[in-house]
Amino acid sequence: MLFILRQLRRLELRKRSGQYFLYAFGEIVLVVVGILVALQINNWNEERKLKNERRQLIEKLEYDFRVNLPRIDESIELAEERNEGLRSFLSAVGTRNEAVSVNDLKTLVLNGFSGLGVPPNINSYNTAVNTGTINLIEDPVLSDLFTTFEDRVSTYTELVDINRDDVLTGMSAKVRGELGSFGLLFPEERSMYLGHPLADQTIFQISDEAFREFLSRKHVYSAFENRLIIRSRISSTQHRVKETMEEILARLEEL
Amino acid sequence: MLFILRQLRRLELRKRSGQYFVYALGEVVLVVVGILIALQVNNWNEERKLDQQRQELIENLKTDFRASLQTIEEDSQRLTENNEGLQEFLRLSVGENEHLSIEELKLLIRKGYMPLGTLPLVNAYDSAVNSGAINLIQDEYLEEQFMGFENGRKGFEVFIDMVRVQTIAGESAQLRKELGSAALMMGDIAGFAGGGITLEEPEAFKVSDEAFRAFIARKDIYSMFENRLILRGRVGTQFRRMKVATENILERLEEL
Repeated sequence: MLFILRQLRRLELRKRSGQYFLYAFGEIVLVVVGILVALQINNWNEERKLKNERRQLIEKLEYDFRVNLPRIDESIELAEERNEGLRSFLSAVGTRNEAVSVNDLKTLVLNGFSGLGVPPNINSYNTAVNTGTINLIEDPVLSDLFTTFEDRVSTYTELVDINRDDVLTGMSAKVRGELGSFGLLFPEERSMYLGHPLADQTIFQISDEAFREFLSRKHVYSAFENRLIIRSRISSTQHRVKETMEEILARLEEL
Repeated sequence: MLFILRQLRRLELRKRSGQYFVYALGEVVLVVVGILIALQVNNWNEERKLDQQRQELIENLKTDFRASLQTIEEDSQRLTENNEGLQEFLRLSVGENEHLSIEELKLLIRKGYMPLGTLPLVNAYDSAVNSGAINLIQDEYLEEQFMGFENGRKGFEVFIDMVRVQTIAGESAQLRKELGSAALMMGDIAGFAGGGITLEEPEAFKVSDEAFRAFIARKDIYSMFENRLILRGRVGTQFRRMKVATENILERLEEL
């Protein structure tokens, strides 16, 4: 009798500990599931935030590129007009065309020294690159376009530097050294050049014939031709920058 | 009697709170175990994601480098052809060249001013470097090859700039000064160096054929063109460096 009772108690205990293990297992599963759900919610929330950020970035970029496009258009128009003027100058000098007056020559040559616009500076793009948020837009097509854009803008910037060097220290500067002053090269209304009027050094004034003779010297002609080469490169780079900007805009609109 | 009952109840309570602590301890252990398991599952999941990213990166790099290999080969081929033209000019300029017309000689010179090609685009690689994702691929050999590619690319940029400066401000520009115009060296040039503008031969500076032949036979002129060939040849060397590195990179990426 006692034996049976003991057996029963043991069974009871075993049953209880079995139940406990089941309970413990359930508990663990609940905790695991709870934590995973929490992590998932967190992930999902982060992703939602990133998506929002991405959308905002795309819109900002779109706006900025759109605003900058007409500016480069203006630069292109300006550059082409001025290069055409410079080309007419070279043509007149190269063929010793006396029909073009000295004053017209001066007006034409001024084209070779006037501004050509500045490379586009797109704020939201620069910021996105610096902070790394640009990586939010995971689009291989766009990232190719951005690289091409940067490449072309940096060529543009480099050419602008070369252009400046040419005027201030290069071939053009040497030509200026022979004349004495830019003032002798440009027409009366040249005063806008460099933002302030250049003094009119009458002591260096030369006759029209001497001026024509000066222009027809080989090294002088080639200095102006050099200006045309540099400036036409700038102009074609502007075209390429514009092309890339348009492609970027089109892609941004698709996204 | 009441006293005894009270004692008994106290005992009972003590026993119950003891049981409660055992139960609570068990619960804490369970939660800790649960959290550890959850973290493990999360880690494993993250690793799986990283592995996926790594695989994706490898695929993107393959596409990138395959495309760039193609442009490198094309540009390099064109450059070699143009450089051979310039070399031919150098050979002929001081030697017997009566069998070539002035136009033909100018055509050979023009080859020395043809575009040098463009920098290959490897955006997936560049952005992986910028974001640090490139570290997902731990491979020493590959790192070495990436370095080789980068060196080639840097060299390419340097020499492209040097050629540009030579044309616009350097020796080549000095030579133009003597002739009066680039067009006299290479003929009427439409779209000179991608400039999209036509340079005309200025009538005033036209020289006779004999004078032109004598001009190109001069030592300083020869060495200018030779220098140009050296610079352009260096660009070619950078192309080859990038090509070798790109081939090695592709081969290794296939293995991964």
